[in-house]
Amino acid sequence: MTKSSLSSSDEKSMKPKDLVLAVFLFLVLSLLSVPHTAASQRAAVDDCVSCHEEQVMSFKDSIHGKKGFEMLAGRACETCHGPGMEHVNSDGDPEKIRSFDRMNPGEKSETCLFCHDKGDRMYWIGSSHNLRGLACQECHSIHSPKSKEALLSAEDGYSVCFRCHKQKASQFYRASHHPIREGKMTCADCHNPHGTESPRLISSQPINEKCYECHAEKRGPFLWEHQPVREDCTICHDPHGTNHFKMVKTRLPYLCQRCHADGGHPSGLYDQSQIESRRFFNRSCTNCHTAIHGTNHPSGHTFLR
Amino acid sequence: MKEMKMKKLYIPFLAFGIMLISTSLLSQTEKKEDLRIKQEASMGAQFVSGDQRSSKFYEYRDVPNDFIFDMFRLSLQKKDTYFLFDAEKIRQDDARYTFNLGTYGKYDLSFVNEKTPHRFSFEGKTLYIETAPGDFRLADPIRIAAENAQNDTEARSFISGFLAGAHSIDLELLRNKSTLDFTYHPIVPVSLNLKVSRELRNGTRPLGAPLGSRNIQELPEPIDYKTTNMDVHVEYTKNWGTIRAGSNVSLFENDVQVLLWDSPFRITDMNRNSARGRSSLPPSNTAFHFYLNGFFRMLKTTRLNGSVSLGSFSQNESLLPYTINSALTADYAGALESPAETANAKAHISSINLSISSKLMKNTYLSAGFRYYDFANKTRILDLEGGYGQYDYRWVDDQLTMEPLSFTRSRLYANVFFNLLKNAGFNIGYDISGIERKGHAHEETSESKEEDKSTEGTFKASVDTHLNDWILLRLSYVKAKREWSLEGIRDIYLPDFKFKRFFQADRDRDGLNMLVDLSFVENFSLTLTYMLGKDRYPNSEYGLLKDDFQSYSLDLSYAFSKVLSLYAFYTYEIYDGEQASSRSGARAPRDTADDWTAALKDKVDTFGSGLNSTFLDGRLHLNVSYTYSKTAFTSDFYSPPGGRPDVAENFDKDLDTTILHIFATSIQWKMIDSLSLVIGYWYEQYELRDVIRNYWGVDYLELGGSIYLGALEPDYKYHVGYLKLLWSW
Repeated sequence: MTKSSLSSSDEKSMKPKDLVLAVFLFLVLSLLSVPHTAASQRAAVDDCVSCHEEQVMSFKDSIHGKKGFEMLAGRACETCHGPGMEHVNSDGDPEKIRSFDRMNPGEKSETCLFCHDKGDRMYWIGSSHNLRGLACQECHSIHSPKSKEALLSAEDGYSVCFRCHKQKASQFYRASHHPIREGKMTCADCHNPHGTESPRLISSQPINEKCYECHAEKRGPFLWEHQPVREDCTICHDPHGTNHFKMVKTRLPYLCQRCHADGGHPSGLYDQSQIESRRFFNRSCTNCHTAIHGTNHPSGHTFLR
Repeated sequence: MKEMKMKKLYIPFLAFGIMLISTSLLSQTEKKEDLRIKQEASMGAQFVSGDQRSSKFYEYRDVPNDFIFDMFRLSLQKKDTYFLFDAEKIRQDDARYTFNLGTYGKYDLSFVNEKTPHRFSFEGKTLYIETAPGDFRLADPIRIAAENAQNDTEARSFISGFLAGAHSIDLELLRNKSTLDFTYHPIVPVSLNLKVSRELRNGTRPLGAPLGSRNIQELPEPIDYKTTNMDVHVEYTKNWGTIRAGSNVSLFENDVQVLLWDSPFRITDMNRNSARGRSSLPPSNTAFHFYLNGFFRMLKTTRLNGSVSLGSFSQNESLLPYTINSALTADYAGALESPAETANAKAHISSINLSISSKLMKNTYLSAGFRYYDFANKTRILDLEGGYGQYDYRWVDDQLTMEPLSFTRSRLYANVFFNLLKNAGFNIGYDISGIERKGHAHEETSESKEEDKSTEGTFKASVDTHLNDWILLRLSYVKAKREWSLEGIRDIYLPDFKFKRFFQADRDRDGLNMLVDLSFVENFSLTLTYMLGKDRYPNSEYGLLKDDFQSYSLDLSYAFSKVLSLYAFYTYEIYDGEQASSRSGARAPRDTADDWTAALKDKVDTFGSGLNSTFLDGRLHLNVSYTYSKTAFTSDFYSPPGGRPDVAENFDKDLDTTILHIFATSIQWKMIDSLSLVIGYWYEQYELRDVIRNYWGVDYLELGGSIYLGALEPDYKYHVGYLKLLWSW
């Protein structure tokens, strides 16, 4: 490019005020191009009640009823279902209104995200549940909620999860489990089903920081740290429940021997002949290695103190 | 006795009083415009009968044999302002109380107090007396006599004679957590949230306290924990996205950080036999994070998600001396001193997550991102040049250096989602994740301080389709390969001893998940699932070699009509692991005849069924449910003859089997619109068949010189019946 062509180009370049004008015109045109719904296309709530009384009354009683009817939206049923007059005038033709039965999962969720795309739902788009084609309505029921909170379509949060996660449902009947079936915890205490920035929808990163919320004594840091303990609690424990003491994945001493198989007493065979060995009996390895999660004791490098 | 009667009378009087006061107060305000009042209460009597008292039945709950006031709910609402008081299981050990106040769209304030028991055993016994928190003493005459015994056998026999007088102890923990959660929306795009919780944990749990490998004294570890968590954040939402900034602090305080106990065998210290033991319990610690989360709508169909967090874990509690055994000063003059005054332990924590979600073209979406987490341990390095006190029993003069463990996790991932067919989504993804470790040690090696990295590539594919109105199919497949940076480069042990820690070793993983949901007939649903997971460690000959699982499940539900619905489910799971070990390990002379292998299996059957029915125009509800779960853990050991061990002696029965039956039924009769009567019955049976857990006893002196707590969790059969009145007005 020559010098002259550069100067020529500069002379023709857009000035700042032109840029502002162009942006302004673009915004005005954009606003004008937004389809506006004429008042005549709108239906009144009374029109909806005449056919859908049960749904409208349950909606009015719900949190959406408070916000939708009286506060933010002001458009009642039409906030989610769109203009309804055509549907009313056509004697309830379901094709003439935004019916969730005819929407794909993405469209269903998009309706909810119009208001809820924030807070704990901010990572829904791209989350594993989103990518597996789930919609908000798989777990929530706007018109017939069964739960006290969160408009869930089952009485308890975990019942919703267990519809798909059958193996996890079974695990909570194990002898060693977190108190889910006793009603003291829910799946959402550890997972955020709406999406997280961490794997497995765990609502903190990494998983250990979630465990420390209730088990802060394991947090340390300690003078002596046990490497797998620091890296990931789930190397040894299955938090959904196991049949083994303290939710460990397999029975002690065999769990410890998955790593400590390299000689000395940790790699001994604890078969029927060893049933009364202090290394097998009672708490097995942790009869002696009591501070297995880490210790501050100067003589604690093998977690005996 | 009089106290018991008073306690029993207290609950119905309390219930009646609350209802009377609230009704009379509210009846006056009810006349005011727009005020909506709802009240519900449930109270009655519960009868519990069991064949024996078992902590397993009461593990996380309270089941009183008494009057019960199990629910009271008061809800006030005036326009957009609400107040809720919700009390569940009032006055019980598992009670929950909630106060909630707010104005829709403006603010919400909630306060929750929740108690959760955790009972370990009702059977525990000990000879020890706790004279101060964490200080367990035995009577001096016992210890003097044991010390003066002719030999170990005589000493053990002597101590054993006293064990009949061991006193019962309560092995249980109670969590009492209060949480205040306040959300405020001063203007539409801004919300502020403050959440503060404080949890008290008090009680005891069994803990091993060894004074040598043959002198294990199990003690009731005193728990006196306080955990305070506080999180505050502000969130700003506009059309372009949402941004949230905040910080959280967690303070853990342990009031008992030292455990002290007497040896039953000695009252004076000697080398290889301490009179007392001293161990450290979890130190108080602090965690802090500052975080910034958000997403931005960059284009109409693209959004960028991100989060950044910086924080630290720290604790600086006093360090105990190496040992309490004064006789060990003969081996090391500084044995009764600490290597430093305090721990000075801290770790810096940082994380960054970035992801992008975009609609590439019609029906094709991309989700890709990067995750990074760094745990940088900055704990002061201590050189323990003089060695250490093992169990307070003897001095070991191996030089130790405390090396802080640090690690960094990272993950790069991308998923493409196609919606090519109507009602069918296909998802393909690949991610590379890694963990880089610094500062850990492989024992038995002189060059123990290492850096290594495990890197895993994972391919994922899934299909989710509603083929038509009556069939839903979800199918996913995972294949992953993990590689360890030190594999083949440097053997940790002898070249022919292929051993790695399984959580860092090379691994091949395959996984398959399938769910089919069929609804051939209206109101009928059949769900079938299959899961398969396979982990193999191709370059490990010792440690974990294989870890597989499979699960099959079937779910049925059918609503015959509006008055009757039935459901049933069955799940079968099998967990199948294989591992190998070498008694002689990497030490020379190494002998493969010392090797042994174990195939360990957990097989689980879970079955349940029930019905819900409504009669008399909705005035009578019947619920019946039954659940059965059986888990059996089996083992198969093998050892080639001639080594140490010579041959494996397999267990002649399952290592453990547990069976749980739960049957529950209730009938609710709506007598009038505001009053219902509920009559219910619930049966629970638990069976444990375990090669050792059924036999946990106090006295194991004869076998090895140890005294346990005998903290059994016995089988049980409990019958619970209740009669309740449910008011709502």
